[in-house]
Amino acid sequence: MIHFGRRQFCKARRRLLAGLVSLPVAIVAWPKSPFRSDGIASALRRVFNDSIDHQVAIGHRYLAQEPGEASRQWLAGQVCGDLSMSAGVPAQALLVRLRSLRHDDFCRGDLVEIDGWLLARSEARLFALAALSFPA
Amino acid sequence: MLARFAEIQSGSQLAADVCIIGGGPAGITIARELTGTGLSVLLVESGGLEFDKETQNLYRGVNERGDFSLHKSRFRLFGGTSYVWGGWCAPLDEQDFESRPWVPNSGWPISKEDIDPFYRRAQSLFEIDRYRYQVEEWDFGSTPVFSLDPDKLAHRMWQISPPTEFGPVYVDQLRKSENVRVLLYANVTKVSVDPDGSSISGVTLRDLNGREARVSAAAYVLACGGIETTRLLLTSGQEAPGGLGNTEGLVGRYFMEHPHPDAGGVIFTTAAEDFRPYYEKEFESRNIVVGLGPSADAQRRLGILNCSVAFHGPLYHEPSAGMDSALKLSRALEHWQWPDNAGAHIATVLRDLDDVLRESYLRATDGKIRGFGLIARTEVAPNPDNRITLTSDRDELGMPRVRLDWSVGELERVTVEETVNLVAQEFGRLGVGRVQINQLLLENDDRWSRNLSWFGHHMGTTRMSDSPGQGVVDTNCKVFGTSNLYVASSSVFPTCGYANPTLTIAALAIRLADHLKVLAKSDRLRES
Ligand SMILES: Cc1cc2nc3c(=O)[nH]c(=O)nc-3n(C[C@H](O)[C@H](O)[C@H](O)COP(=O)(O)OP(=O)(O)OC[C@H]3O[C@@H](n4cnc5c(N)ncnc54)[C@H](O)[C@@H]3O)c2cc1C
Repeated sequence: MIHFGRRQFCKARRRLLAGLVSLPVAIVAWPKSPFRSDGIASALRRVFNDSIDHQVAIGHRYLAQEPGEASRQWLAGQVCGDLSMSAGVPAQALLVRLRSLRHDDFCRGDLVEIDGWLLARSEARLFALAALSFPA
Repeated sequence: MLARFAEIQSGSQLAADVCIIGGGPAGITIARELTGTGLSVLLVESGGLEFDKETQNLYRGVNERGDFSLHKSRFRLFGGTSYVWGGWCAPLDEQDFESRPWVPNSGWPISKEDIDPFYRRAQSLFEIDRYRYQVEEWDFGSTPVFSLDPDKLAHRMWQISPPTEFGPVYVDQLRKSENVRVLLYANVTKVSVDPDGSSISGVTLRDLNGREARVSAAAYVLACGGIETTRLLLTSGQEAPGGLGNTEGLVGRYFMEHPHPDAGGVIFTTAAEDFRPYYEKEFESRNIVVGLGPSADAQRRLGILNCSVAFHGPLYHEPSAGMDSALKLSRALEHWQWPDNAGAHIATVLRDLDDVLRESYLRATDGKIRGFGLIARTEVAPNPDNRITLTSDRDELGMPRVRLDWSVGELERVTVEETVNLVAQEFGRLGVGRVQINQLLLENDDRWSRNLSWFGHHMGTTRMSDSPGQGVVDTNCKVFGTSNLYVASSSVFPTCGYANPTLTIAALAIRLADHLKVLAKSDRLRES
């Protein structure tokens, strides 16, 4: 369980918001970072276009709610399905799949609540994957 | 004709065919409808043409919940509470009239179809465009409304009246009327019943200077608002135990109000312009508001009440309870008012000061709107324990004051939660925005209901039914067990939907006026 102080909580909320809005935009080059550089991490970098902190913050909060899902392999399977998440996966294909998963979640009403934000489960899982792939 | 009670000799006996008690939107509407009919109509009104504090004090009472004051949520002068109202008009939905198995005590004895023609006639009273409450009937220009999944959401629509102040707008018409007399500063303190207990023999009028008179009429219409009508019934008819029309102990029960919780907010993930129909208030040179709510199918499937959410307050950063409270405080102060629950709002602002400062800074400097707050207006379930009773305390005219004892329940919370959830699903599916829910709505306790906004929608305490065991008035709004006493008020609503009540009050008032005209034609006004 992650405990946030009031100020940290506000900051996390802001990051979360920025993270939410960042997902739908186009892929841009990911800046060099000190984080892990395996296949999943590099695929994620190409999905997010902005500081991965945002997504990581959301992901941590999701994992605090769903500790049973804290497995990178399992989450990668959920998020990527047949497209195994690796450095070689075309980013566009991955984005298309993510958007379609998210759309289906919204249609089905499969939402998760994080700090009041009502997110598609698949995007929360994607962020959880980011949280496990880029530990602070 | 217009007169003041002081112009009439104390002890006078006045007579009329129809006596209307109360000159708010309901009473004025009936008086207008009866203008030129040849019936002699007397409208007695407690207040004058201007607001005065002494008369207003007659409305003091106790609201056990403490979240709004009874004397600040209704107004006692000619024109009634339209003196302060907001002018939001919308009809009830078809399903609001139906008996819904998942909503105990729901169902009207009439259908939407029965009242539709009267809605259309009522529309012009509010100085608004023709009757059209479907988004399809409006031209939103280059940005149409979203195409919603009908299993989940439906659009809500209000037409906004200027807002019509019924007093100043209609006083001249009634002043000039040859068959309608309006008597100001005349408080009805008692409705008396014939010895046989079924027909009303007269009403007692009093003013604050101790003058008294009596009115006898063939038919009487109580149009004193959702609480005062009930108070008069409970106070009157000493011959009838518990008050007039109260053999079943139902007068005063099933009180309803529309809670307006802050539901959260939406942040756009698309151009703000795409949301134009939902935040712009003017289309086709008319003032309207477009909102969202659970479709009839969703209400049935989820077992929830009717509800609406609409955008309010642009967001320059993100939703925050502190900013909501800050806006409420500033709006109230702009009108030189001190909100009833100011303490709670101040505490929320202080708790959220960080967000309030950031939002205010961005408002002042950045100016880019990123989203909107969401305000809900939900139906409440009719509950016999939500109740108006009389206290031992008396007002300046010697009438017992009222106590309102009620609560907002779990079904209402779940309704708002599910509605926001449906909005999140649809905005997500359409790829236009993300929704943040007010987290208090997720807690299954009553904290969410402690910081609600209220707008004087007092409904339900003399409910309409087709049997006296289930209600206080029949389908013609006549009080069961009486031959000539009628009610024109939102107190007759058995359920309240999400729609603001005044358009429906006016529609029912016109319907009642038609009924009285028919009775008068066949000489049956004093029905037995
Ligand atoms: C802040 C606020 C905002 C609102 N906004 C909206 C809105 O946007 N849309 C909407 O639909 N509704 C709104 N309402 C509610 C609306 O004002 C009422 O639904 C409407 O005024 C009810 O009309 P009425 O004639 O039944 O009762 P009232 O308007 O309350 O009139 C009752 C009349 O009876 C008189 N009276 C009372 N007792 C006696 C007595 N014993 N003897 C003689 N006369 C008596 C009173 O003086 C008064 O004139 C709002 C209310 C408030 C407080």
